Amino acid sequence: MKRTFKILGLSFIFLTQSAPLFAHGRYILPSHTQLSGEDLKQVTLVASISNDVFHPDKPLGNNGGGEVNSFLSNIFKTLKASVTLPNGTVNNTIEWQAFARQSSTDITIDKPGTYRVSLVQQPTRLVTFKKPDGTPSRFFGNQQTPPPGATNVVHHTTASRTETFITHNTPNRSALISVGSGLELVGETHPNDLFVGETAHFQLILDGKPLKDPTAVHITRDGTLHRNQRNTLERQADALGNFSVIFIKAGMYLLEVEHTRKGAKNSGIDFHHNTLYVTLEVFPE
Amino acid sequence: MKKTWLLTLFFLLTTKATADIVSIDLTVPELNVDPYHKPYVAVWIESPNRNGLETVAVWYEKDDWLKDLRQWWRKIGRNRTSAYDAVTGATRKPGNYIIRWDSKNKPAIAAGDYWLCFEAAREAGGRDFIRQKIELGHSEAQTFLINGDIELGQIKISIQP
Repeated sequence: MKRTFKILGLSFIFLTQSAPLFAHGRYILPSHTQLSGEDLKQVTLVASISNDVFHPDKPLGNNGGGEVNSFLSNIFKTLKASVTLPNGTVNNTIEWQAFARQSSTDITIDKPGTYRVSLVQQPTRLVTFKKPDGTPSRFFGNQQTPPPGATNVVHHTTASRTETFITHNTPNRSALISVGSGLELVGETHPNDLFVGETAHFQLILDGKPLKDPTAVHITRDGTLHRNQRNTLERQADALGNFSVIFIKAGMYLLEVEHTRKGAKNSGIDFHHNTLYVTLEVFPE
Repeated sequence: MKKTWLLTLFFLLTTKATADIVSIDLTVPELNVDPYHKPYVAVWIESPNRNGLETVAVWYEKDDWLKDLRQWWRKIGRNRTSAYDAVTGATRKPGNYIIRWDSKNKPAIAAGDYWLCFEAAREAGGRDFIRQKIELGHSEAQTFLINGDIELGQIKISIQP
């Protein structure tokens, strides 16, 4: 009887603590995903932490030029901004400027092929606990010692990858190759070649390997602020991380994946959380 | 002058005060979504031409998001056309809730037809808005059964004169 109680207690902790800790969505929204012509091109991008798809709430990323509060500033310290060029080399000098509700940047497109724009939050320590009075609390970053008397202490790491793709003239795949850390979207279909009515085939990769745990993929079209239901498409990735989707409406879409795995024994980490946010543009037939 | 006085008297005599007890049995539905946030809910009364008159209940956490109860915010919240501080409460977890409202001492509520309006909005979720025509100051009891779309479940309304 006592044992049952203990097991129930543990599974309760697992259920509650494995739930997404950063439930707020993130996105990068590019002004253009496809460009043609020989001239040098520019694309303006915005990024935000927001529950509404492509309606900004809080900035995501800052080069020091914008004013952000200390909570966001701590998150941004763990954020790496990059652009992967069509030849596969990575440019880390991209700078995002924070504004009150979103961050923004310009990138110059001077080569043919596909660019990958990324804001990656490196695995960051997080501890969740209940204060002696029972209220839930958490420490993000280096502060890892809960106050005396805290219960339900759980150690986590959280990591996220927020991305989009831009193609100048002919698409290519060098920038699409998995970098081997965190959750990534790869697969047969090029992310800049999405049209209504065609089946798109994708694959989820975790730390460079196909994601084996069956995982839900959520895909939501732009404009959730102006409709009563989010109408999120849900797809289940198979045991190799593969899934497919047929888009029935053109528009900008946010693809979201969350994954939690248990930490190794004696690693001091109970759960590792990874999230992926990819912005995709779908054109009419 | 005399005529105005007579008109006022006529108005007072014909505008019957109401004393209805409106009981609302409202369901906050269980939703199998992750993340789940408890919905913000507003219940209020509108005139037949859809002016916001009286707030019956508002459940919320932070006033930053009161605007997401879009219809209620537009009709009453932002104008404070009726003081609603007395009917606010915290958001509720899924379940059945009884809300009672008495039309007595509400000068804006004379006998006649009204809309009883329901709205729910959930963070990272959807939004629901439904309304039911009711008659206040009527001699007989009325009951209504309406259903929300997703964010609101079944709503039973009973009105006792």
